[in-house]
Amino acid sequence: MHRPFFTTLCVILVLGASPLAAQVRGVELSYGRWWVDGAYSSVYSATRFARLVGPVSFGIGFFHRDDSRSSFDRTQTGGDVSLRVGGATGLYALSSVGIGIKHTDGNADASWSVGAGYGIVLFSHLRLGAEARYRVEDQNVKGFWQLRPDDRRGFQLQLGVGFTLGQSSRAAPPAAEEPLAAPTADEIRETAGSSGLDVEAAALATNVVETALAAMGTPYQWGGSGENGFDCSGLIQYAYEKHGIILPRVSRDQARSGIAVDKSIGALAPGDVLTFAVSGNGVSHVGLYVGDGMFIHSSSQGVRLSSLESGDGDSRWWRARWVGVRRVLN
Amino acid sequence: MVASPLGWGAARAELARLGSLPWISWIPEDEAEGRLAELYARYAGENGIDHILKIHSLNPPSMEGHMRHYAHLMRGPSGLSRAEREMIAVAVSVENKCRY
Repeated sequence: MHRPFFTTLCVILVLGASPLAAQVRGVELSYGRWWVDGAYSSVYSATRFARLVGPVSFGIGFFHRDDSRSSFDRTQTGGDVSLRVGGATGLYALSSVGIGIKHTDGNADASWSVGAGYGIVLFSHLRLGAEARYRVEDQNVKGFWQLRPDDRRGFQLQLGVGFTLGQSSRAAPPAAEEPLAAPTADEIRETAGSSGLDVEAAALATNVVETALAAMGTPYQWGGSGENGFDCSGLIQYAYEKHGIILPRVSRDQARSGIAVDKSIGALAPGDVLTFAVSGNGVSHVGLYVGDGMFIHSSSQGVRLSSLESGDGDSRWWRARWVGVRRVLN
Repeated sequence: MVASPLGWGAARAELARLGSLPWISWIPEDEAEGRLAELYARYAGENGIDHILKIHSLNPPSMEGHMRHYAHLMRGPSGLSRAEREMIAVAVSVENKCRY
């Protein structure tokens, strides 16, 4: 009788609370079974996850455990917090602590669990996960982490479906609305000349940018640094190397080359290396500024142009992750 | 210096005036084709192509290598500032009695 009501309530509460929190990554709904002494109870939960740091994400949620099959019914509804270590796909480790209010007497039970899960991302917004955990439930909140003879303990298996919510949770930029027009060599040279580079550096920057533009449409290839495919830093290394400037191979090191320039569009010159933090705080993506607010980069969609200021979804996505500028030409 | 691949007599006279520089035949901008034309377009400065590049005109890959080497030494990331690098270039030129 309680089940549909509580499940619905939990979903509404979690979905409703999500936009209030910064760093919303997504909501996960799951169904699980917890086996204790040969009988199982059904666990329904709704959890909101946000990335904490690196591979660690933090979840806060509601659960409802239907224990009506058990001889002593401890059906309860409560909340829990959990930590996951691992990516959205593949294996991850998990742990949680929670408190539930028993429907029979209104008293609180506390529980903890540790386990592991496996996730797959079906589309950019949908994630499926399976988890196995060992769960211990204590009839008192005080000292619940201690194993006591009257604790209920057993394995819990659960299946979940996760949805990402809102712009900030997107793992990849939305498809560009329409392709941007690449600037001509003359336009690049003019922009370079008016952005503080001397004539010779402006000519060199123009040549580097033209080389990168000539690679437009080349597919993305992890570790690629040639015309068959580029990764982000490979494209920039290739464009510069063609004109004699040797840059480090990986974006993290490219982000330390040359000198820092103000992170404002007005301060940029063609040829500047734009750095992005796509996941976590470290630089994980680089692009080459071509002028007019645009940069060329090799992303999962291949070598293409994106804008820092056009205001479309792609542009906003990259702008939000733009962390720095390096000028590598002296 | 005005010269063409065919104007060797005048060029030799000019060289005699300059001293003992070797003579290398070169292709002027308006006669360049293919790869050379591309490189001329790429490397043209405010006053066209520098003579030091034109001497590679019979061998465009050599011209490209020259410019890459130059950019690498003078324009790439380095512990030396741009001014320090130019200063070294001037000091070496003076020591070698290079008119440049």
